[in-house]
Amino acid sequence: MAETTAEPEIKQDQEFATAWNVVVHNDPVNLMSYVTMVFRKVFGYSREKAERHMMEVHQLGRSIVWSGMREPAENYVQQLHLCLLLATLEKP
Amino acid sequence: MPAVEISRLDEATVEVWGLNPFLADLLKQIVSAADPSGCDAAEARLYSTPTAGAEPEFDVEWEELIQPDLEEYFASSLDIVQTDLVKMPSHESALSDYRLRIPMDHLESWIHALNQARLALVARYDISEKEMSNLPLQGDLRALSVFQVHFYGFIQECFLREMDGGE
Repeated sequence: MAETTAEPEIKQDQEFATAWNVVVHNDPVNLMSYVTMVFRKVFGYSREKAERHMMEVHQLGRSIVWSGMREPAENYVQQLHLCLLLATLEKP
Repeated sequence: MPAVEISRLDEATVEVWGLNPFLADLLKQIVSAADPSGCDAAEARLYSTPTAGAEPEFDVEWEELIQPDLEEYFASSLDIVQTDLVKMPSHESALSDYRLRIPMDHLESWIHALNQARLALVARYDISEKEMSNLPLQGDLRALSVFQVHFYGFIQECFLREMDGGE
């Protein structure tokens, strides 16, 4: 009994330990300068790094702006949604 | 774009001036323009899903648990904008030079509110990227909305520069 309940927990732990991508998708309405400001504010990125991600979103339609554990990834998506960027959580 | 100027009145205040009655009225419409009520497309844009359908259960959970926080945050930004807007004199002179004073610590709320209004307007009127790049000539409500989106974008850009130290 104990073994059958432990297995899903391990799976869940593994799932949460896997690196998750925070992806921002292009929305032509958002100003480029606004997107840059949001990346700097949410992730603490330098202007250069924030602009690089912004240009990637603009030119390629999406950019992986952060990768890591599930919980902080969810928090970042929430912060990006607060700023009304189109952000999703994706498994690599 | 319109002959509107934005400058730093002092360390703590930004002033928007050169507003004619029409543009002043457009600014006063920010809060209503940002409201997605009654428009599924606008609701969907302001409250997008975190996995885009890849994890339906998580998306539902997000809507139940996170969306109320988003609503509260959006409302707080719009409340701040509204407190500044009500201080804007309704009419100052025959030449109609309306001025709006905004405390620097309100600027970020303004930037978010303007962004929200632009997104909601584009979704509500289903304005395409092509339409956004060509100001329509006919003077209908749709054309006015495109102009409104551009005008809010202009103000938002100016505020972003002010936030960035006037660069």
